[in-house]
Order: sequence, then structure tokens, then C-alpha cells
Amino acid sequence: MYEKNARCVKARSFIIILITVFLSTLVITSPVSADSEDITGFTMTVTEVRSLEISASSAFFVPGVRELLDGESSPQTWVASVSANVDWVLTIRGAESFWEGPWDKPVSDILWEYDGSGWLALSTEPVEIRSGGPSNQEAYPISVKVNLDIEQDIPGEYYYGYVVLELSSP
Amino acid sequence: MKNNATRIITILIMASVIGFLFSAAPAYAEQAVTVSDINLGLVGEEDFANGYVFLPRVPVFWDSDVPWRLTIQSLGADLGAGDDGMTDKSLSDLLWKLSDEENWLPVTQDPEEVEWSMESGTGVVYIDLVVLIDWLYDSPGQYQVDLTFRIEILPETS
Repeated sequence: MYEKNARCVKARSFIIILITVFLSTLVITSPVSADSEDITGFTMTVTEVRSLEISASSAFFVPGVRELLDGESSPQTWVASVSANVDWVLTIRGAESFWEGPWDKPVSDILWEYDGSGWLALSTEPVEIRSGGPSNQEAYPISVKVNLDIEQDIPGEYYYGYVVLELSSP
Repeated sequence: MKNNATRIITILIMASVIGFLFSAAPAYAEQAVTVSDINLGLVGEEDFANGYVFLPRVPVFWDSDVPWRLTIQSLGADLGAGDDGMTDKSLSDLLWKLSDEENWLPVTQDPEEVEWSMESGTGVVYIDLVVLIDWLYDSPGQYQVDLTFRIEILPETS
């Protein structure tokens, strides 16, 4: 009787051990989280950018009698479109002191105006048209005309290169 | 009584052996993810004109011996400010997508699932990145943020 009880106890102990082993097996064979990560630096460097677009790359004036008598051509309008991520200043100047043509027509015979500022003679020294801060395609219309002198402006082809519009740091 | 105990023992042993043999997952999952630092370089006029900078096919190398999922998140709340220190560039200006997919998602401080797979092994996931650029707000300077790529065991609910 005692021996039979001892066998039962041993069998129960063995079963408990096996259950423990079984459960351990289930737990152990489940993957343990071992996630991994990598920290990556993301970098970019923004430069100073000023961008200027002009609506016309060249302009033609063909003055008629009326304009010659009036002493000036009909005005044309160029649109300067400014984009910048920093402060800027827009200037205008002539690249040459004289036109090429039948006579040395001076650069000052080119007149410009911005925003009702009054007509100003172009010179080879840059003159500020407008300044500003960060801008996205802000449009600035600039009117241009040519002084005419019926006595001096003899017939012929006159060429002036170039009217320079510049966007620069203040 | 003896027969019952023997049966139970036999069944448990078999269950243990079968459970052990058919368990596909190892005891400890080995996982790794590697991404090189990302430098967009100089952002210039063309980028401003486009309104963005596009960086295609950034490789994210993964290694896992269990089913896995890959996530991306930002450690920072923004991309920092330019040299003038005026305005922090929004983290939402940084977008990502899988290279072979279409939908862009903003990078956030919460982990977003990039990819997952039931397959183990090693491989590479390619992602595209875009940074939105704005003339009015992106003053000169260096912008940066740390991104965390994490690989983890694929949850059973995925």
C-alpha cells in the first residue's frame, strides 16, 4: 500500500515536471523581442537665394513721326519678378555709356519709371528701384521709353546693350 | 492509475517534442536595421523654384530572423531654424514614401510603419524623401533632425 502511494507521488511529480517543461518550451520557443533601431541624421543646407526674372529679353522701339515730334517713344513695360529667401535690392543701370548707331546717342536717352516715381534717365551707375525681404515671385512693373531728338536722331538703326537689372544683397 | 499516468506522460513528451520541432521562431530574435546619414546638400535656386527637394531611393538595410516590421519616426519636433533663428522649419515639411508607392506621408514623432514581412532573412527597403521648400520661410542655414528607423517583431495582429 505504502509502495503504491509512493509510486503515485513519483508519477505526479514527474507529470508536474513534464508540464513545467512543456510550458517552458512554449514560452522559450516564442521569440523574445530584440528590436533594433538606427538613428540617422538628416541634414540640408539652405543657401542665400535671390532670383530675378524679366518679362522681356529685348525691346524694339520703332518711333514714328508723331513720336519724333513729341520727343519720346511710346513707353514699354517690363515686369521684374523677384523671388528671394533673404533681403534684396533691385537696381537698374546701363552697361554702356552710348548707343551703337549713326551717332553716339547717350545712355541717358533711355528713361525708366517705377510705380509713379517719375521718369529717370538711365546711367551706368546702378540706381535702386526697389528693396524687400523674402519674396515669392513678387512682380514689379518698370516702364521704359527713349528720348528722341528729331535733329540729332538721323535715320538708322540704333542699338543699346544692355539695360541691366540686378538683384543683390542690400 | 499507472496506465493513465503513462499515457499523460507520453502525450506531454510528444507535445513538447512537436512543439519544439515545429516552432519556427528562435528563442531570441536577431534583428538589425542600418541607414546611412542623409545629407541633402545645398538647397539652391532650382530647388526653391521647384518648391521641394527630392531624394530618391534611400536604402534601409534590414536583417531579421523572424517576421518583422520597420518603422520610421522623428526624434525632433521640427527641422530647426535657419541662421536667423526666426522660425523653426516644420517637421511636416519632411515627407516619405516607399519608392515603389505613390502616397507621401509626413514624418512625425510617432512611429509609422514603413514595411513589414512574414519573411525572415536580410534585405533592403528603399524609401523616397521630399522636403518642401518655401521662399518666404526657409531662410539660409543648416536644418537637421534625427530620424529613427526601428525593426521589430511583427505583431500577430498585423
